Formats: sequence, structure tokens, C-alpha cells
Amino acid sequence: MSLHHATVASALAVVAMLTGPTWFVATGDELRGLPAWRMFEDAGLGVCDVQFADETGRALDRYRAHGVPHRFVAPDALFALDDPEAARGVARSFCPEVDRVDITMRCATPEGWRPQPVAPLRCSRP
Amino acid sequence: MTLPPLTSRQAVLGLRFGFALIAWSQVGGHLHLGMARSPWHAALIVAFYIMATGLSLTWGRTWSVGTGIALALVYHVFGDHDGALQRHQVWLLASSLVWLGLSPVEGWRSPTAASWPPRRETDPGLRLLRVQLSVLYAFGVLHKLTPAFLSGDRLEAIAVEQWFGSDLPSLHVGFVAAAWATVGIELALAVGLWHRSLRPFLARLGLLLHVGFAVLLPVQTFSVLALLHYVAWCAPTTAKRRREEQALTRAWAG
Repeated sequence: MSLHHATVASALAVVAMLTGPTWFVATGDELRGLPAWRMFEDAGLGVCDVQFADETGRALDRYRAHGVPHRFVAPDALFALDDPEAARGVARSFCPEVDRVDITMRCATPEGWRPQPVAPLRCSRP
Repeated sequence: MTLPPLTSRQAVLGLRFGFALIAWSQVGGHLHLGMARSPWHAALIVAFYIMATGLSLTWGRTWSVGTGIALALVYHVFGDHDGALQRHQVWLLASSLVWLGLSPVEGWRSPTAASWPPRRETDPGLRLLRVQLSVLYAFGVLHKLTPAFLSGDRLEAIAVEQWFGSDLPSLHVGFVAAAWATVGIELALAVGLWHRSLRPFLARLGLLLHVGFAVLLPVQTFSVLALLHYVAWCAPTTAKRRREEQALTRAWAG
């Protein structure tokens, strides 16, 4: 390969490297043929963080309530709560020790955390 | 510790075999003739394996470029069939193999061959891999310059998914610091690796970053691909440096 050919090939290679990501920055669309190098962009989307507290604001430990010694040995249904119904189901485990369980839930979107309203659980009601 | 000095030949050979291993393990495991829906599909699958075999066993640039082109076609043709074949690392591997094919391979069989290093001024293959690494980091930074990432939200969500489950500990300041540190390190790597005096420090930082990604996140193949790109920084690419390398090789050989 001559110097001239190598130079032309290198220039084309750099154009190929830059086209995909530059196109994405300019238009917001990713070319299928040329990736924009948005690695790991979808990771964590849709997951939710859920916190439980009693009526005084004291944090409630979901693992202790289920007799699980550590989060890493918890069953999936307790470890990953992805919808309000699952969160309310876990909240029931705090009854009847508390009267009311406040549930603070937020779910991950590309724009960051989005609050997910969940009504408090009143243990006295079925 | 600094980057280990390599001859161009060592660097290109190391990269070839590193890329070949990734091609066999990451793509080979997902590609077989049973996926073919037409004679063209079958031909592409067979071509990939022939090229990857040549890449593993011989020197010629044909095998490197051929494997790269076959991989790019596999990415497009079979990506919808198997998501593993349409990931970034497949495209990165394909392009890396094509760029590496531009590295000179004349005189490989003799350590003191008169034709080595070639008369050409630079090694375009290694240079392109250096450029590609900078492009990856630069656009990686650009995509992270969002409120969602810089506020730590995106890293917290990843931590929920990978580590903590739906019970995130109160470490918000740590996640914000990690987000800004990631952006700062990637920006420094995109630009600073081109600066000779900063390179030893930044190379160590880059190694730590990618090993950290591999250990903490399911990003193993991409991490090792990025690490392989650092090999391109271990060998000279300019004519002056390559003449020095040739003199050293001759003195060492005899």
C-alpha cells in the first residue's frame, strides 16, 4: 500500500469514525450503519428505588420484616420492585407493627429519576 | 509503571491475536450455519470463519480487513436475529480490524529484514486505533453531558439495577462525584493520551477505569477492546522512532 493510498484510506476511516456520532449529535437519531458510541445508554432504565417509612417518618427495613439476613440473598420479588403493586405488596409485611406505611417510589427514565406516586398503605384496611 | 515499549510488529501482532480471540469468543458463539436464511447468509457465515481462522494463524492484512468487513456485515445481517451481534463491541471490533489492516506487514518473517520498518512515514493502522480510542472517549463524554448523568441519577439507576436492587443506600453525593469523575477522566483520556508527558499517568488511569467497568458492570468485552487500543500507544508510528527501533532490533539480534 503506497503512502498516497494509506493517507486516503486513513482519511476515509476518520470520516467513518466521526459520521455516526456527529450525525447523532446533530439530529438526535442514530444511524443503523454507523453507531454513535452511546455505550450503556439503556442500562438501568425502568428500575425503581422504593423506600418505606412509618407514620413518624422512621425508615422500615423490608429485609428484616421478611426475615432475610441480607439484600443479596433476598428473593427477586423483594429485591427488585418495579411497580406500585409490588411495592404495596412488600409494604404489607410491615403490618400490623405499624398503622400506616408511606411508600416513596421513583423510577429511572433517560431524563433521570421520575417520582412514582403510591398511596400510603393503611394496615387497618383490608 | 509506564506503558511497556513495544516494536510496531509486536504491537500489531498482539492486537491481531487479541482481536481474533474476541472475534471467536464473542461473535463465534452466536454465529452458525443454522441461522442462514439464504445462500448469501451461509456464504457470509463461512466467510467470517475462514477470515477469522486466517487472522488467527497468518500475518497478511487480507485476513484482518476481511474479518473486519465480514463482522460489519454480520452486524447488519444477523443483528436483528441475535442482539449480541448488534452490540457496539461488534462494530468496534469490525472497524478496529479494518484499521489494523492498514498497518504494514512487510518483512514480518525476519527480525532484521531490510524492509522493516517499511519506508513509509507512519503506521496508519496504529494511528487510526489511537484516533478511534479518542473518538470513543470524546463522544462518550459528549453523551454524558446531560442533567440526568451529571446529577448522578443515571449512575444511581445503574447501581439499583446491578447492585442494590430497589433499596438504594443514601450515597447520593458519592454518585454525583462518580459521575463527574467519569466525565473528567474520559475527557482527559480523549485529549491527554496524545501528550507524551501525560501518557504514562493517563494510561494507568485508563486501565483502572476499564478494569473498574469490567468488575463493577457487565461491560467486559467492550472494556477489553478498549484496553487493547492502548497497545497502539506502546509502539512508535513515526519514521524517526521506527528507525531507532530498527537500530535497536539489529543491535539486539546480533
